[in-house]
Amino acid sequence: MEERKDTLILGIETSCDETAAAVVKNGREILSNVISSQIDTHTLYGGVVPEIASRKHIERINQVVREALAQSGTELCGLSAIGVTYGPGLVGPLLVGVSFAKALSFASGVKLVGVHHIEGHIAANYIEDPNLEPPFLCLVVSGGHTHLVNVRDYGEYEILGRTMDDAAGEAFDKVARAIGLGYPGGPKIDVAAKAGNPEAVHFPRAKVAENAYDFSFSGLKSAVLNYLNSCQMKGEEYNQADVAASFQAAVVDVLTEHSIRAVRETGAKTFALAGGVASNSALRESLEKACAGLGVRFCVPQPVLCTDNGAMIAAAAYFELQKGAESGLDLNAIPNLKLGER
Amino acid sequence: MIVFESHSDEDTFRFASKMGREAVPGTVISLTGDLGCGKTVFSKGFASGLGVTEPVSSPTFTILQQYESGRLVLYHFDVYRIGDPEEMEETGYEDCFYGNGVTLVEWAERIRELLPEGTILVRIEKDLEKGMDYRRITVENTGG
Amino acid sequence: MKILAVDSSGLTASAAIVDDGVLVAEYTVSHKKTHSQTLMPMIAEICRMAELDPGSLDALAVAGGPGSFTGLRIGAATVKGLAEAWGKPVVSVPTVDALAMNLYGCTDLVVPLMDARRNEAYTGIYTFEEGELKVIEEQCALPLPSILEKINRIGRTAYFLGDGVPVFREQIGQLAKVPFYFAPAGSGRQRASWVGVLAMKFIQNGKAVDAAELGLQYLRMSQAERERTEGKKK
Repeated sequence: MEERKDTLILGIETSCDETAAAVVKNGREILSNVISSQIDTHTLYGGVVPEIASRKHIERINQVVREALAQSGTELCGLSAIGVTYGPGLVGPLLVGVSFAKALSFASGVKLVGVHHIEGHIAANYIEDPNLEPPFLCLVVSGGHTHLVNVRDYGEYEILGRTMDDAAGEAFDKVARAIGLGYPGGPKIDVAAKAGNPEAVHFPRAKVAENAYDFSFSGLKSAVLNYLNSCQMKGEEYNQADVAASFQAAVVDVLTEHSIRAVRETGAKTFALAGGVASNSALRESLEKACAGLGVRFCVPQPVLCTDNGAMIAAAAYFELQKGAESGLDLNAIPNLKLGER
Repeated sequence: MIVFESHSDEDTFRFASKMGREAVPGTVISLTGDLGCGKTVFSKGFASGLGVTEPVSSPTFTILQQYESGRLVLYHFDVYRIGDPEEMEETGYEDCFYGNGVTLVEWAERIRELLPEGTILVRIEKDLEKGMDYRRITVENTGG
Repeated sequence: MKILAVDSSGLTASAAIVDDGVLVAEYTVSHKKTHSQTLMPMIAEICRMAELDPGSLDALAVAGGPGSFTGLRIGAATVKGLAEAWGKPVVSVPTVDALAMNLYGCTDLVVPLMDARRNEAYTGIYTFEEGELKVIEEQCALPLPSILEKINRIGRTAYFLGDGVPVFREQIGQLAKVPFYFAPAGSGRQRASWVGVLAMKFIQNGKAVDAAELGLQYLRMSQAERERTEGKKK
């Protein structure tokens, strides 16, 4: 009997701020995961807002890919495919990854698979939980995206809800800035909130009339800003930790409520969390508890797989490859790529 | 120069919607105002006036979001995260500014030197003396 | 010496294989700017038609700037990917120098003009002496009157070429104090073959580098921007 060969995939991610590459085995096992900003001299917590210049992508792409291959002990010729994010994102950064990946593919003869960035985030859960299979519900929350998705099958998605204005991660960053916590907002609020009272200030939990699954965070952001302004006008001091905790509670409540409603209404047995905001401890805790209460399996990737990375792209590419999907040398960067679009 | 006094999000939305209805191809609008002053509300109103049917969400992280469902293509920029005008190249902004769609740029003061001649300057200001929801919207046409 | 060269610095996408004195293959298209989709298939095609054995390449070359930022990155990222897979060194060639090569042999002034928007051009002043390209004014980004001032001062006949010609034609007519001509279609656009030819010199002078080191030259728009960035870095 023929021995099943392992499927090794190199995933490349350059959709916005990060230059990342990773090698993943059989869609689930990380052999290497190289993320450019984490080998920077300015660490993620250095207080410096990261540049989005794809000048950096072009400067780093070779090293990041080389490192990913070396750490995994793989050579290009040992790969089954190269997965690359081709959207959504910024056209400049996307093009660096896509152009590089196409060239690698042509020159090495390895198959090319274009991957949707958000599908990548969802796929990070396949790595975290080797037994996770569709169907399941997934909440993807990051700086740029907030989507509640019904993952019917590998590559088959139904968007149940999305943000009408600000993404959840963005709300974290803006509020953090407003209360003097600086960048990056999410982790800073997460930490500050631990020392604060989530019921100190009641901030609105917005509903969107047209669709109970949609989200709206700009009203919450305004409410926080108005609260801070009114404190200022009254000459009162506000408690940073309390504001952080109260704001966070409002966001977590809304995200949890929508997610649990979706679980109940769709009868889902499994719920997954994904995206940069999935690293937030209060959100993880809230959803874990809510799911446990319903006897629903809860999945969330470890923090390093929640923020942008190449491993999630490699994982998503694996499942695309299983379905026979393959991209040609004319693969283009599509800044507006919609989930489920090919 | 036009000055419009808005007392609510709805006022801002309606005012912006009118601008959207009247926008011509190649229009570039610079939208400036502090955090929370209603730039996204304005953008939504503007998009609605342009006939965009998709939900218009904040491009703070994504920098640029494009909408094709309206009368003209809408390029909605938020350059809050841009540190240096050179970084704008990543966005392919020239094709937007000099194309046949309509461009709306939030926090445009960060890339002032890149704005083309004829950019319409919209400024949204709060005046806490007049209430939390009050906004003064100023529209200045710098066109030649 | 065998080189695979790429130029996607402007509206034109071009790829070529140059083997010592022979241009083995070249594929150049000036139609819309969809380099992101067309460049790699173009490269694949010439490799196929020339039956290229990648192992026989000495290096890869790319027009490294100035030009459209997006175009430059597509070209550079593509070349970096090929070089990575084939284990070959790379060379970055100044875009404007390569453009000037279109008028090889001209002993008057050769002035390439690339539209840099905001009324500026990526340009330079060149000529040919003893069969070699001679750089009189290094490639730079300048408002048209500035480059014309330099040309007028030199006082020699000037041949203009490049995608900036239609943009600046009228101004040139008004400001030039020397006889001038515009290169005809076919001589006016980027060609990867020139990138390959110039690359050979660079390689002979030891300027080939590992793909990871390949740098691009965007060129600043103006002194003011340059100074602002210097000031910011302090």
